[in-house]
Amino acid sequence: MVIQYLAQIVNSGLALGAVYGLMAIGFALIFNSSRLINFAQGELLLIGGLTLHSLTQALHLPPLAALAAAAIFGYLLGHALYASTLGVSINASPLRQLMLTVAASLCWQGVAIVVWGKNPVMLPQLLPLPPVRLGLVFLSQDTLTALVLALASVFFLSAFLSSTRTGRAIRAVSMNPVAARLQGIRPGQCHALSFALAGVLAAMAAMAVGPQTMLRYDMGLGLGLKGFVAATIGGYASVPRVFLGGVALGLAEAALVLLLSGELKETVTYILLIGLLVLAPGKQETAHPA
Amino acid sequence: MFPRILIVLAVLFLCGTPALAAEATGDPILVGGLFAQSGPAAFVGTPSRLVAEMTVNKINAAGGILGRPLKLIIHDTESNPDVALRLARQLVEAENVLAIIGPTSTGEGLAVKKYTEEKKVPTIMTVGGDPVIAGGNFGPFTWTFKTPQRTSTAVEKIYDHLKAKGVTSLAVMTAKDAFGQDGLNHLKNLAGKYGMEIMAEETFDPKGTDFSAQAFKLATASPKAVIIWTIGPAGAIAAKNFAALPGNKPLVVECHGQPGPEFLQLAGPAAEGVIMPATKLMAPDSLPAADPQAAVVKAFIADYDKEGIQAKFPLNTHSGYAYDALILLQAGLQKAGKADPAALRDALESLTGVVGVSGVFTITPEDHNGLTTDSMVMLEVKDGAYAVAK
Repeated sequence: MVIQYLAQIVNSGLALGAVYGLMAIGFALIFNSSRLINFAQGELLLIGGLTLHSLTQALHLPPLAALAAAAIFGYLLGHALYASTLGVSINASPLRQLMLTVAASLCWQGVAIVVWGKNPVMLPQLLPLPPVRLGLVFLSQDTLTALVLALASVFFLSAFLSSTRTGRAIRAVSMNPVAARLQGIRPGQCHALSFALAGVLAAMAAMAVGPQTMLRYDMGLGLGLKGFVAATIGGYASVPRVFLGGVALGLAEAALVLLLSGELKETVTYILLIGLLVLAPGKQETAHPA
Repeated sequence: MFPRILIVLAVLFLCGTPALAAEATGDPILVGGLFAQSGPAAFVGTPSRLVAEMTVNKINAAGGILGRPLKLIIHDTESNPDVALRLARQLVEAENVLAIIGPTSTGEGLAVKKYTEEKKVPTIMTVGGDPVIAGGNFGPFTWTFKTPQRTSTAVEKIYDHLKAKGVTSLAVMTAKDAFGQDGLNHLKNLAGKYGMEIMAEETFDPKGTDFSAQAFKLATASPKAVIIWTIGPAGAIAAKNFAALPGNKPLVVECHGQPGPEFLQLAGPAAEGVIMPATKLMAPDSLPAADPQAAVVKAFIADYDKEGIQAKFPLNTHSGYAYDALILLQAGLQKAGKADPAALRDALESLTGVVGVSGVFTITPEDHNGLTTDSMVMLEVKDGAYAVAK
């Protein structure tokens, strides 16, 4: 019985945890490069997922084409978000930049309502993997897909950040924008690129979460904030650690829902956030991307 | 009565001569229509309004009722009980309607009912839940009728089917709203009568997006079947959550609020094999010619298509309720012989064998719905479409 419960926690915890992890990495990327909390992170996922849904309605997408479409659209969406928020307020006060992302979040939600309506939309499973059973652990189709998408994203992103020139430029800007600029790096481009990468990650997260919980116009803010919590747990510093923060959050939530009740899930999650913010002050100041 | 007539005269005077339908003459019979055209119940309320308008046009084209045209005054209740009550007041006190059709959701129905009972306004509701005509704690239902099958009728239909299949161990998963609570009560109360054993029960928030925890807990009790009681997308999510469970899965039974294209679309492959009770509207081709409803159902579907409602709101199990409400009103008025609230009420209460889309209505003072399990069919999802369950 206990083992069954644990297996169920692992199964549903990993499914959502992978999504939180992807959102958290996007959050951390933007935060590290521009010290901006992006409140529109969840809407990147929402619009990316809904557009993907419309694409699947219009034409038959094989898995690889769906992945490519999601990545490309997420990339463009990230750039669009940058152009409409930080891009026009690069010298403005951080508060104004922050409010612009809040405004973008609400505007995009409105777009979602106008274009796709208020009813939830079911994104079909575009990357159908078979459910697997590893001993006592059972991973359902949605869980496995979410995990594979997330781990692949983490792998490629880490490789990109550590071994390409552009990737290293992004890290340089996050460590010290002035020094980076003195080395001939354009911070603006790096900011834009981190938004675009966050867009790609959000689109991947949409592919993972769409078949699990459906896509609805009001889901963005909640998922974005979960990403924030996960990034805080993970410490913003390294991509894999931030991702693990998301997985930990997902597992904790699954355990809460199963052992306590679904209603307390959000409350406890945010109490956790308060606790973390109080107990770990200053950590973010010294954090540097690995 | 006297002041009301004065108001009517004043309104008529202010509006000039009322518009007359070509085929029927005389003052129109005013009927209020309360439909949730926005908010969560809009997916039922908006098509209900269109069906009501379609039916009124049809009645008027055929000469109206008692030689007078029917005029429907329609308002949007926003799926909100407070708004529904305010609009009911407006219909009765300012617009002087003879009777009211609607509202759409059970919560709205309960809010409106208290007022219409007090004011003695015949009200034919299109709400799913039973409390509006349950009496007891929910107050008298002298002036209140409803066209959708009672919750208990749907429960009995499900239990009949399961018993015939030899399934007696159950788990139930019900929404936390009024509709789900109503379902839970009837599922529990009727279980003994059919020899059903409820091994586990869970509730869920119908606005939630993931019920895999509840599904898992219910499955650990190893029931043969699980009954899910909710309307809207939550039913499809729950079916998906059960389908994703490892090992032996219970037979998934949805309630009579689910049948429609939306469930199939949202649940996708997880819908396969799910069974649910539905109105005969969902299985027109399987009706035997001897079924008294066959002709009515087919004519309704043809009209629904012709009016272009099908294109916007593909037919679901709820589509016929507003039609039935108006057909009952028509039958009641014809039996009463005059457009008087008390006479209409008495006539409604003694209607027998009125054939509607949702069933053959035989109303009694105790039963203000008048439908039995014969009015429903059990559906099973097969290859992504509804078929009559064997």
